[in-house]
Amino acid sequence: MITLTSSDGVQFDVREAVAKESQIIRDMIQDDCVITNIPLANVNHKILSIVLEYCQMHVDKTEMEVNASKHQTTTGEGSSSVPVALKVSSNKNLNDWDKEFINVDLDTLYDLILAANYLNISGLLNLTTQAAADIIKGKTTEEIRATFNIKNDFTPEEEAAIRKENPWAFE
Amino acid sequence: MNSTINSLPEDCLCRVISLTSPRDAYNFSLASTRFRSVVDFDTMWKAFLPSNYAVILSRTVDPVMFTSKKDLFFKLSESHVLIDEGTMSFGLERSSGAKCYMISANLLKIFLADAPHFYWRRISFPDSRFREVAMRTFPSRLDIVGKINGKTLSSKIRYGAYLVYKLTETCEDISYTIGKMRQRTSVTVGTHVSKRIVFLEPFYVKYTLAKPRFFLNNLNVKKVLLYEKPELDNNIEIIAKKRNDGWIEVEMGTFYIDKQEDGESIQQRTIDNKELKKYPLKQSIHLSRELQIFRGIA
Repeated sequence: MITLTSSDGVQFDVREAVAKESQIIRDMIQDDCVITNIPLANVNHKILSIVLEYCQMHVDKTEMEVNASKHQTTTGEGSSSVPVALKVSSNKNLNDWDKEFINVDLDTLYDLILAANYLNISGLLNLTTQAAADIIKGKTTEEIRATFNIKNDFTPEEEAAIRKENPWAFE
Repeated sequence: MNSTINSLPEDCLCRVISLTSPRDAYNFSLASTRFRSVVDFDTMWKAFLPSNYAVILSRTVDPVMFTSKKDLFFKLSESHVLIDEGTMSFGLERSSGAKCYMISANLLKIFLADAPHFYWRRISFPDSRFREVAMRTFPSRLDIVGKINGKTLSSKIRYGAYLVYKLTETCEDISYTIGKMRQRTSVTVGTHVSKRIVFLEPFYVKYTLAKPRFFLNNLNVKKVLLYEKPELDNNIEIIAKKRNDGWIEVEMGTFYIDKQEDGESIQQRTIDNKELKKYPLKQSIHLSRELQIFRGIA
């Protein structure tokens, strides 16, 4: 077990495999194999618990798959099509789970992107940035400003000039 | 933590934007000055370029000079470049970054093109980007087949296949005849077939304006059917359109490649049953992202 401490001092005890979903923690453990407590200065307990939920789920799913395929090879029964089907269905479940998991408010989404970036969890970073991209897709500039609560700091002249450069994009 | 989108570092924002499209990126860039600086990042424009852009650039007839990835994207989306010894041209559709190709007449299979009676002639034509175009010199069945490997196209993009041609002035007097004549076209990808009934004369709409019923049918049916019932995306009547460059194009069908592996070779075909009295001058088949029909419906 490894203890992760959030920026606001809350401790989380997790299995090593779960913590190792983060590249940065994986590197730390590799460098110093007796490490048991890792303080995470940039992630508060609320976000860390969500991040760990993601890691836990993905580790569990991967282990389940490995066990299933091991079981298949040791018992030697059935054709190779069974584990493939199992894998596909479990991937599908995981995708559904991810979709449900990422259905969060914008503030949480920003924090998750920051945490995934800081902890270097590639799966979570892909999932969160894709979710943010999906929010931006198809929106006009005005809609983007409203959605993300952005203050327009262009002068009207600057804005007109940019629109004129690529009028097709703003049609 | 009370984060806002501005608490995201630039590389995260860049990562997010590179998952959208060039059009989205522009709209994003106009939201604030910080966003604008992110959208100028080279890594972002690299994401909008095809992953094999270096290979494509190695196939160009003339070397493409560029100062940044953004510059390259712009060059390729502004105009096509000739590739493969000038037998094809390549460009990017600017709002999505989709790969588009034009196949020269030399690569098309044209019925009777090589027959001894000179139904078709290959001539050089100053308005064409290609060295040679095929000119029909004698009435015959119009049967043209073009093929492209689906793997060379972008996935998750709805494409349209277009025939690009000109009609010579010498037959102006009978343009009404050709306008009235229905041509059948089809686009085949694996088992998917998209069919159209097309009019090669772009001014046909002029004649039909006097009969508003027909005109309305054309435009309405096209949009409603395409969106609500994609399986009925067949036998829609399409009238050719004049392009900005003076050529005429007609949509022969549309298709969608979900995954790159799905893309077998795609065939387009235009056939007319009746004999044409007109001599269309044909440049090429043009593959470009289908825009007009699929935009603005949401």
